[in-house]
Amino acid sequence: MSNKTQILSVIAVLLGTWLLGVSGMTRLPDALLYDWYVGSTPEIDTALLDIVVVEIDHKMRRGQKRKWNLLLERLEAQAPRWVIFNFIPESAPDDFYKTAAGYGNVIFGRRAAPNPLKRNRLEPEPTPEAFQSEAFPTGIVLLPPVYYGVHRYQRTGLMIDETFYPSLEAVAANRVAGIDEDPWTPGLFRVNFNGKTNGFPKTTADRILSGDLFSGQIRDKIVIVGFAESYYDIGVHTPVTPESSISMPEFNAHALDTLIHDKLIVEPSPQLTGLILLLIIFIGVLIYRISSFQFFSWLMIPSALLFLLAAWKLFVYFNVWLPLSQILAAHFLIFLYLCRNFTVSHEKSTQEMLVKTSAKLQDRVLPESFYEIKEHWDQVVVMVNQTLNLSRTIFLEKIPGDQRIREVKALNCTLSDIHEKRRDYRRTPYSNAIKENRPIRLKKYSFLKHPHKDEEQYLVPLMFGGRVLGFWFLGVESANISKMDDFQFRIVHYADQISELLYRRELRMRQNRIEKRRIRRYLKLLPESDVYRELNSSITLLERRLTLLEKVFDGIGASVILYDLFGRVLHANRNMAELMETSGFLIYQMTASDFLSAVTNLTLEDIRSLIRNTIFDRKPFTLTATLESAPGKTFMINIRPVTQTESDSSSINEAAPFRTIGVLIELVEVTELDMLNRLKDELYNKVSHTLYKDFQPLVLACDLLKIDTITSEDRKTAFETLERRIRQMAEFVKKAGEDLSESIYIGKETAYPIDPALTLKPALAALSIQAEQKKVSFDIEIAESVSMVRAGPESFMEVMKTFLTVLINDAVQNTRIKISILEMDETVIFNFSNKGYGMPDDVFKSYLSGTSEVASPDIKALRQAISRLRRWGGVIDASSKLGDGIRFAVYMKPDTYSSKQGTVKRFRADL
Amino acid sequence: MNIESNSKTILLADEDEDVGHLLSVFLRLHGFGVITVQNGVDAIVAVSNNEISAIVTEWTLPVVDGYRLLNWLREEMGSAIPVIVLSAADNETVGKRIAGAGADAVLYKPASAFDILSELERALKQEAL
Repeated sequence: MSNKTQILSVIAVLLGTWLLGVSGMTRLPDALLYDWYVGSTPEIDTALLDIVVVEIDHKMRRGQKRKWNLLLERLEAQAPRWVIFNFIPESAPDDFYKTAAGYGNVIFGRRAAPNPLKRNRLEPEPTPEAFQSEAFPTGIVLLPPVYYGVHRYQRTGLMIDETFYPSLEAVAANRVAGIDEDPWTPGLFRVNFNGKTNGFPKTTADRILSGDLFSGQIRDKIVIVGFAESYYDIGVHTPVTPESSISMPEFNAHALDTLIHDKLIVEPSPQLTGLILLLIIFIGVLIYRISSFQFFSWLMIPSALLFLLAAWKLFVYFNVWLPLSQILAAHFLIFLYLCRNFTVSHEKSTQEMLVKTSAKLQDRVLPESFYEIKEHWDQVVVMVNQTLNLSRTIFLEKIPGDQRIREVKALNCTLSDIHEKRRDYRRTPYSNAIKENRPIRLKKYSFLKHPHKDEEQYLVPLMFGGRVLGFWFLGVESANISKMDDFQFRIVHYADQISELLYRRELRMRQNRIEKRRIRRYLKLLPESDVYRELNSSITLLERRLTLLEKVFDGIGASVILYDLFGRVLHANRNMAELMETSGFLIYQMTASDFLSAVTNLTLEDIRSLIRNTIFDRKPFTLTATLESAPGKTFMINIRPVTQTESDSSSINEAAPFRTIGVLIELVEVTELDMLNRLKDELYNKVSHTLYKDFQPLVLACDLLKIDTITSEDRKTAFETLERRIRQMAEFVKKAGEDLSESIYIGKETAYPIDPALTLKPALAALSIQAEQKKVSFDIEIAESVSMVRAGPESFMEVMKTFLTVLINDAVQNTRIKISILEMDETVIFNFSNKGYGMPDDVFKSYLSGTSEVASPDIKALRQAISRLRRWGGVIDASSKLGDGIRFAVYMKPDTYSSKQGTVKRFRADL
Repeated sequence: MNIESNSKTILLADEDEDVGHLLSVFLRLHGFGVITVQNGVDAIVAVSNNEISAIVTEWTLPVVDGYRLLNWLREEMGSAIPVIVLSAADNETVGKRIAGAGADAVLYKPASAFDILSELERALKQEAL
């Protein structure tokens, strides 16, 4: 909202509340507040009041005439200051007035009555002749005006035919003050009832006439004489007597007391009221501006109470009556307005933020939540097909209320490919699959109408929490199955994940339906506005992206740390944090220079130069690194600048004022890569070695042929040897060329000629910490020259790691694990043994062969290792003895790169 | 194990049968008796059971390699039999290791039969002195 609009709104509030008062709409609340305030004023001691009320019974109106004289005589005998009759006694004798005039301190009140002869025009009541002959001060006795049943005001007088007749109280006040002329102007004044809940000292005419009047009772006091409440003289309701009424003379006493003691209640003029309201509104707006909204809202009630208290103080001690209703109205109205202003501006900001965020999000790839997307089955099919290489697959679900199944998603087949008899999920094969709760292999022709050649078919139940959510049929070529380790395990794993996804999606959709119901939103007092829901969605999307990026950052195999331009850590991924913790480095307290100094051998000057070049020239660098906490491991450090693109720099980015945002340092473990590189080098060396060896018989044959004296048989043998060995060498060179040109990479499963000794080193390095914790060391014996074997490079290392892990875990502390690699009878033999706890040999063998169920990860890994070794043509002998330890012997065929070709001749019992 | 009689008997240890056969013919033509074996264990047996004047051995013998054979000869048997080592790995490290093990000479494959003969004769002469 603009400032202009805000000012106008404030003015509107001001005018509105001011007009409320001017229009009289606040009179009732004001009156109620006034009465309450009057009732709460501290009580004044009646003995201190200088007015006494004498009430006359109405019977005396027509009673004995002489009683009036006696009454006056008795009163005057007590030397009052003034005696004020608020009536003219009709039945008083003529000498009564003469006597009264003689005292010189008697005032009479005349009523104003309508004159029927003059169209009921109000006139002062006629007076007796005897009264007229005396110059008594008289005032008009007026009934006080009544508002909402209570008499709070009194008039100063009455205008009759442009002649002002002051009221009895006004005249009396003048006489008390010693003023003869009446300075009053027509108007109303508030009678001050404060502290006079008990009223004035009172007595009755009867008591006075009977002589029951003690001297101090009315001495020097003002006595007001009037008729008591009766049928003829109806009482007056005042703020101090809201439930009852007082007599007219008592009311006259209150009014007179107000005038003679100058206790007039002052009310601010409309202009002053306007200023007061403006001040209140101004203070409200000021507090809203300078403080928080929460503080402002908390202040509302206390400040209202403060106004009430201030108004009370002013009323009691200064006789000032503030327009409380208007003040409170202004206070609450301005508060409501400012609350609304806050909400509107808040919502507007939120909307703007949403628009900006949405615009930014449009440029980003945001993976949708699986639970929200409609085509979630597409995602599932893509997921399984990417990894399982299926020939065809179909997802089936139950039709609600029906025993049949229907197609949900299919790849390379449809529901119509399934035999009609096989579409009832209560029958086989579904019932079998549900009963077994695992993938079942289907017989050909029993399920799909057109089975493929060499295809194996499986049906998997998708169950979660005992409920069947669907079925998954898959067909896969037999050759593809053999390429995968643990095919069954993989499809069970996928089935479990898909089932859980389906279940959670179902839950989520159900929850969404419930949340969207209006009645629920109504009961939760949620606004209809979608702004906050949209904001929540945007925040959720951003959070998801941030989480995804964090996971990606953490999932990077390398250890990564990002520094800002000032060398402070912006972010480090999990790998880096863990690696540095192991090494004892506090990375969050280290600058980029400190870090590089800790992990490299560079001098400080070199590091400074490096960082300088990275930041200013934006050059990347790659170095080697070592960590004492990771002996045997090889690391590489990549140092790169992180820069802003042109599109980034066009927007204001206060966090990154320069083109270079920071420096990214990656610590990559390249032990395995190093090993793979050296494998090729080693192969090259081995090829050279073999060639040199294979040339030997050629050279010897040639040398022999140079000798003239050799026998013809020897000559023939020499030539045959030459021919045969040259042919063998040609084949060897061809094979070596193929192997040397083949690419090797981490994760390569197909076999490659490898030096077993070379793969042992990284395996030992990877287990160094584990071995150290167990206080286990290694005795390694490797023959001088061992032939290469053909195996997956990284997998072979994993196999050795598996064996060593089992041995380390079983080993007794402070013992040695023996490793030997030798070649004998054209067989490369690996021996691993420990001094450990062991187990009974038959039990051990049953674990390895899979005849007994075991959940130990070590045993599962061992099974996988054995399976791999067999694929490479290896033979394994594993044994264990309780209390002694475990032993592995692996026999492998040497590869082409030995001088002798042959098969494994000797081995122990096959597993 | 092939034995051919002559005045001096040379033990040839090489897993390559062709190398053993061709070299033995060559040495025989030059008046040596020759015993050929194809692994280190057989070499030890031959030395133990025969009067061997010199040994020509491949460094990377199967079962018991050249290093262990030399170790046995020099440390355990205290023998000073001349030993010529044939190695396919032509590098300083291997050379030092072979010399450190007690070999009298090392020839890198593919070594000429004439060079082997020269080294043998030199070693035998030196031993005779």
